[in-house]
Amino acid sequence: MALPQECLKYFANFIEAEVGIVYSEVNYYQLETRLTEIAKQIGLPDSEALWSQVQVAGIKGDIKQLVIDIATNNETSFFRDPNVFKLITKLAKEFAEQRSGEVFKVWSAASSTGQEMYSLAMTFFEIAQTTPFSYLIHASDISERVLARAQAGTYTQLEVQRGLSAMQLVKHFDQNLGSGDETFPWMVKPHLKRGLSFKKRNLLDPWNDLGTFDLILCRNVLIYQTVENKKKVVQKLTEHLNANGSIILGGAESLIGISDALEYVASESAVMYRKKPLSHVA
Amino acid sequence: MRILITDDSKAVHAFVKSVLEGTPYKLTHAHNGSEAVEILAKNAAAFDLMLLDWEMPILDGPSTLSQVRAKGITFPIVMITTKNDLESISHALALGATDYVMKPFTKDILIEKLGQYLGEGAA
Repeated sequence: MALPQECLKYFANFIEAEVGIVYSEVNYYQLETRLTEIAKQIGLPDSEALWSQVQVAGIKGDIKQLVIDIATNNETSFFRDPNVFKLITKLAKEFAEQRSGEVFKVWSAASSTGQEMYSLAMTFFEIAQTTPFSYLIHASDISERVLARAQAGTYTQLEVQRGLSAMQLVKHFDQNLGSGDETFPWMVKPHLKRGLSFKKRNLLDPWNDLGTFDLILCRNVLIYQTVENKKKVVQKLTEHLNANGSIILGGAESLIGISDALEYVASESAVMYRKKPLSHVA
Repeated sequence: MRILITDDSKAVHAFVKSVLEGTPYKLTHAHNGSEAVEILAKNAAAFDLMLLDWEMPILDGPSTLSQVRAKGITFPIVMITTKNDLESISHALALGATDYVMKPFTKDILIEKLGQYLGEGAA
């Protein structure tokens, strides 16, 4: 290992303070690999050179953003965990039936490069073809870089093959061959961008400009957080849920011991919690 | 369950074979569309899915696709091809392709597509 343990600890402490993600010492080798990638991205030879710069100027500006980027897991694909989208389809159809004329508001709280929100948009677009149904989707992520990708709605050839059928690709994507960015030749069609909004958000910071939602997707985010931060994030998510609104978490996540304002909704498809009526909260 | 892979590239045959090692799925190999049509004429019911290249000698992918569908064979046909433009994908779907994998593709992408049509056993 090129960087001394105490230097890696400095970066690990910074990441934990900024985004709540804990790097334990057994994972320091992984952190160092990622710091080396950052060093190369900004034109430095290795992680030691990065450390030298950080000692002088601190973790600020581009370096800060890159460190946050590497710490957050941007692994994603379209319709990741198809069962979750079956459940969301059911929830959206129920909403359309029971609350005709209202707008179904959804927040993709860790949207990464946008595959989750465009999967939601495809799902809702299809429902709206056969049923009167209006929706708004808000996407947020802590990383400006991935959020910019989400907003652009542009994808590589490999990305559009993860989770999308050829039928969905033809229906919802345009192709920019030869005249645009060769790295991201596929772009979502304008109809998928209707009703979307984007904002960089740290789930640990206050959000004063955010309304309330009928459904929040916060998948595979809490798993990286300390218990204290989990409680903080879940309490804030709950405040932004409409009455009877739901939160969908990742398949391996649970709120046992984290919140009593939400109740588990038994489902074979997904890990879902629903906001309890106020009178039922202990 | 059995997959008929029709491609003139030995490398593609080898790659798909390596991906499917250890899964319950068996491969039958055809190296152009004509071979595939002959194999299916003998016993189409033995197959659950076809992976089909586009550009091949003797009988190409689209002609093979048309002939196979014209014989009333309904199993999923997934194109695997370097023709990665939207027009070609739409054309293949119109001819009866079930899905489309653009080369180069990864093991994960192939596994995901097969899992979608053949069940989780492919994963």
